[in-house]
Amino acid sequence: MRFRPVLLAILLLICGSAMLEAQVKKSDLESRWNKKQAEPFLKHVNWERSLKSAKERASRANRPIVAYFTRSYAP
Amino acid sequence: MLEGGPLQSDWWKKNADSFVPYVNISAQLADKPDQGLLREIGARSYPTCVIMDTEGKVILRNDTAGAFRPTTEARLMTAVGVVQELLDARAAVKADGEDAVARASRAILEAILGLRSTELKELDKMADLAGIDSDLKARFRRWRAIEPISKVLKDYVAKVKSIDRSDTAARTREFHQASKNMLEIYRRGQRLDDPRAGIFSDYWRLVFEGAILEQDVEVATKALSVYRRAFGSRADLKNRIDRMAKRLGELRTDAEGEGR
Repeated sequence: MRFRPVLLAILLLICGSAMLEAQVKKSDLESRWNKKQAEPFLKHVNWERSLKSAKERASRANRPIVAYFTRSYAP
Repeated sequence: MLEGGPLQSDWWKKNADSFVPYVNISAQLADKPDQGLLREIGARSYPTCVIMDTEGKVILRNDTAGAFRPTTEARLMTAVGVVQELLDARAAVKADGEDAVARASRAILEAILGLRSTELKELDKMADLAGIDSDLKARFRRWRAIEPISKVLKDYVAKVKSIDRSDTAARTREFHQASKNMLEIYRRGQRLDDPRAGIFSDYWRLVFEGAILEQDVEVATKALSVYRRAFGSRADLKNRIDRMAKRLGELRTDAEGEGR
């Protein structure tokens, strides 16, 4: 019976560290995302950041959408 | 890299009014816009560049150099021009739904771009309408000449992909069927004469195979002769050409034996 609190503590420690790790990972991804936003190429022309807004602009001007797919989480 | 070069170039900026630049940044963060769109359009790798219509449908993902990349001004604007032409044709139909030339132009462009399939006979009639742009007509004729050939190849690839690799009998059966279909196209008078065409080699190989299967010495001789003239100087194809020549020789011997 007295083992129960110890087991509970171990379980909490494991869960806590997993959550912490996820939090750190999320914060790292967030920081990479923010870093990507500062890339000079994104400031060079008026990029649409969502497909919805791109479609709206394209429909108004009857222009094609040149879609560029990149990522922030890896080089 | 595009981001450090072309996407920061003067020509990119100068032409950016001709299209809508849209950037999709995958972040592995669910709260960012359009996460997963790359997969939805059937692509996987980064970077990917495509050109979409005003509704976000992918119209162009490859150009003559392969997967589309705006690496030069000419390459960018050629690709944008292809899609703009389609949008203009659609706009013309929207402006006047009764305009037969506008409707025909749109249908021809959609067929050439592989967006919608229309009966070839119908397209032929459309291309003959007075008022169809002569450049579009010429492009249609070029596309028309290779469309049945492309279709045989596409159908063959699709069928083979669905067959297990170990099932060699089924794969061979499909290869033979595609060869016979290509021979049929040849017999109808549709030929590929330009070795620069990407499907030239496949076309003549299948015509050759079809001719061997149907014991047509004359066509097999012609196919091998064209193939050899185009690729005879290539060391990597020497064995293939030798094998083809051997099979033709055997067919000739058989034919002579049977008095054909």
